[in-house]
Amino acid sequence: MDCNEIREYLPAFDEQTYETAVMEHLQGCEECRTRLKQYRELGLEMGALSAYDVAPPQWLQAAIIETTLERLHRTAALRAASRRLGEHPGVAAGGALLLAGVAGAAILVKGRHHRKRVELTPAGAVTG
Amino acid sequence: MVTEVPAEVIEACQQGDEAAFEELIRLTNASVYTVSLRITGNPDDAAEAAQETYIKLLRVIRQFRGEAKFSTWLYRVTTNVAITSMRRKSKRRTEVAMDQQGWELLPGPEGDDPAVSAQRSSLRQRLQDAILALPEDHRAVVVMKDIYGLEFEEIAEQLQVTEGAARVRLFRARKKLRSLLYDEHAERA
Repeated sequence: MDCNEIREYLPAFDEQTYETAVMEHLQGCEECRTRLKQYRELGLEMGALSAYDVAPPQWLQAAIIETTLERLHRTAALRAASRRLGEHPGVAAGGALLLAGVAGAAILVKGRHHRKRVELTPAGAVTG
Repeated sequence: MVTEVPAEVIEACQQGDEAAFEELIRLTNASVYTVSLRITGNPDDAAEAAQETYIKLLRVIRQFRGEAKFSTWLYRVTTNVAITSMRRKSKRRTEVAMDQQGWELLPGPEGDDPAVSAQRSSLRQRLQDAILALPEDHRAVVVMKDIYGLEFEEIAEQLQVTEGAARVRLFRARKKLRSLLYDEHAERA
């Protein structure tokens, strides 16, 4: 195996023991040994990097707190409303009927409006 | 580095306690931002992903059962959000060249130790910059595997590729990093 072939194996420095052919080559090739040493140093430094953070923008912490707490409040309010409805099944059923009615009416009005617009298009008019 | 969050703070967050969430954010936001930045390679996207991570945490924090360290679990949630964000924005992203960076690392556990050599500190900073200069699909793998120690199975699942493909990307990323750090650096020096 030549240096180019051996160097395909070197990035796996942390995963397995190398085949005999690779080991033999490494014993006789200082350049490839240097590369392997560099990969190992790279691996160590990469692992150590998790202990080092990058400074976030100064506004970020306050923005995250604001957004997260706002969402927390909204979720809590929805849960409380849902609980209240659950405690009064009559109100919940009435609310559901009302919502269904409003949604149905909206669909009817939209459909009628759409048909009206279609009827108003002159026959044979070129569109687009 | 994610500061380990006290168990009582996590439990209070799971109950929806506002003050506990504030504390959690204070303790972890720099790390969440850093993971996001290392994945997305872009400070604006990283800030957005960090915010989205905490919104997601509101939904999923009850699923944390304490079987793994909270920091490990938080890395998973963060990388997941950052990768989704990266995919969404990859069309309009432009890769950032190494010399356009300069996001300095905060002092780590050995920050105040006078024995830490300037050479190691310099290598660490160059490594941080080199990671950010990698193509995004290579960067995500090397960040998840070599920095945060995630398993190939999980990396492949998050990136929606096979484990074999994830390994190939890792090898290519390591080759590129070695070249950037040793060959190209030596040429510039």
